[in-house]
Amino acid sequence: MPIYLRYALNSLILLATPFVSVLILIWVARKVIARMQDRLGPNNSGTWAGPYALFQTLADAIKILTKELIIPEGADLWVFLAAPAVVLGSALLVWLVIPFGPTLQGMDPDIGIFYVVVITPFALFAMIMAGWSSRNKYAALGTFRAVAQIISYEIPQFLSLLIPIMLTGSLSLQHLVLAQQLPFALVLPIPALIYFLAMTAEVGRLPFEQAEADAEIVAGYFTEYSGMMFGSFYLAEFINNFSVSLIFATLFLGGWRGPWVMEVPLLGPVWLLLKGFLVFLVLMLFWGAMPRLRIDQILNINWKFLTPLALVMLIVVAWVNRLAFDQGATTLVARAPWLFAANLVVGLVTIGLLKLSSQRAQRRRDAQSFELLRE
Amino acid sequence: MGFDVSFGFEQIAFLLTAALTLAAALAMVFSRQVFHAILLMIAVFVGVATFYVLLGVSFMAGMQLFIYVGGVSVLAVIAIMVTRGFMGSDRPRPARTTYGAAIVAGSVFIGLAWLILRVPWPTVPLVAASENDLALLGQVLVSRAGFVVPFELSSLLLFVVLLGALYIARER
Amino acid sequence: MLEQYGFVVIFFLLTAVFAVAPVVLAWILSPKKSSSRKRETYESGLRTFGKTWIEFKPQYYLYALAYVVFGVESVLLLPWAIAYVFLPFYAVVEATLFLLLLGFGLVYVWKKGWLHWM
Repeated sequence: MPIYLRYALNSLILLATPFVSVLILIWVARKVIARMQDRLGPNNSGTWAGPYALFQTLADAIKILTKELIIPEGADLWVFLAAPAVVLGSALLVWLVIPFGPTLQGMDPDIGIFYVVVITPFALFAMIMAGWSSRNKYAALGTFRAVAQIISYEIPQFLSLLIPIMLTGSLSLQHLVLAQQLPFALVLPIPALIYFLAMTAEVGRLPFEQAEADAEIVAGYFTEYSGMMFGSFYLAEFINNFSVSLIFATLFLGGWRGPWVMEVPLLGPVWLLLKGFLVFLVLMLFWGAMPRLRIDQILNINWKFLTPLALVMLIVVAWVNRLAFDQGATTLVARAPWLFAANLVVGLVTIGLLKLSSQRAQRRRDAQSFELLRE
Repeated sequence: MGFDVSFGFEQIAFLLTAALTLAAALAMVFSRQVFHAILLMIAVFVGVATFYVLLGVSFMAGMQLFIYVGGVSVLAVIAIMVTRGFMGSDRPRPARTTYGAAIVAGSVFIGLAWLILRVPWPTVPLVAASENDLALLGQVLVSRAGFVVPFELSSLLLFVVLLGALYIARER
Repeated sequence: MLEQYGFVVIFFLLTAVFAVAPVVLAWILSPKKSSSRKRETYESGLRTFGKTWIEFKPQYYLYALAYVVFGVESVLLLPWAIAYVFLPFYAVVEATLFLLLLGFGLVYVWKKGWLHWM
């Protein structure tokens, strides 16, 4: 029996971490956004909620717990009620495999990162359940678009993911960290970029915010949800943002690697959380700085830019890495300049092509307006 | 045809998963609303994925979930939304065709069961599973003595599928 | 393996508990003053008119189809990607062929305009 007790305890710690971190992260998000919008955000004035309003999130959570749960008539009851649980559950399941340190991990299944990829469809279904069961026109609109966005961006996310896997020879997240003598973001900037953009779209962060689209369709698929049911979606969203930042840090920024980690293993989680936090900050900066893209723009970026680019990068890296290896550059550090140069070349070619296509579009627009003027 | 039924953790896990999956499948067939049927279908897919995990091929489980839950189920849901709009209409139970379908499904089940019980399945694996058997799978998939031709053909097949499906569904 | 499964099962069960807990907690703590006005479908404060039907674009279906095709392709590439470091040179050529075929497919449907969102 004691071993199962130990498992339960470890699981509890592992599951409590996202909740606790989100409490802090929501505060950070609100402060960062506020400052970017030239205001203060939660602070000491008004009702006291801790120094610098640090406990604001906790206060909001307690408040939302006491709000009435309104169930719209005609809603499909069980599906409606299950959706918040499913979305929160899928946000939490990811934490099983995040490597916090060389030996600090819930579990390291041999399918490692594939497990993380596979959790996303369940969150997607929670969204569909929410949109469908609310029987609300606006919820449905939000659902369709969100679904299209999420399934589309899974492809470049997965394809760009294949590249670090190629360099590692394993799906296991620990192996991915151990293989990064140099962070993969330095060696493979373009796949890292593709993955980052795809992941931003997957979590529904601006500029890819179709799911919520505040000003347009009220609140999209969770229009009909009140109180803590909405709170669950909100919580799940932030937990997802953080998990996804941690995964990015693991894949491309070296995870728990850092100075003195080997001597002091406890530094592992420190480095990971720091890096994850940085990525999260970048997500917040996106949120504050960027306007929302239209759904057709979003889908075009995915299918006409990111996916072809990911395919090209797969081919390029496969060839360059093999050639570098045959030339005798056996370690990652030795192959790094080759790979980086290849990335640079592809990047420059891409920018060139984009410029060309935008010039052509501009010429077409000029021709059209010229036609209009002539009449 | 000798079975060695040892009642360990694996047996319990298998029986539990089988029971839940079958229950979900039955509920799906008898459900009144199509949307519920799809959700139950996902439950069945998860059950199958669990079987793969219990068998030790977690990669297949991942593939199952990625393609079936992520792709096929989403397709099904979107198709439902096209044809039904909103009010998830109830399906009248049971229709005339249901009995015929039940008979066909029953016969297929009996036939397959008979077949499975008769085949002398090998108990020793064909290829020794080493430490990193996913890499081994990759090697087998691409090696000239392995499955490289089906590998490339599947790419061709996917190409045709993409073109065909989008052609049929294109905006006119 | 057994111990690992034990941990996973416990973790999954506890996740389910944590996932359901917020709503259950809210149900316990919240007032229950239901009224028919509150339960109406939301439409910016007005009563809804017309059947709650949504106009559907076939494009949504197209993207789901594209996902399935590319999803299968990506998953087939996964074993290759894992074995990549151990494979001889011709494996790179084979994978290039595979990817080019699919890339060509993508470009084709793009140029034909079938990926266009209305």
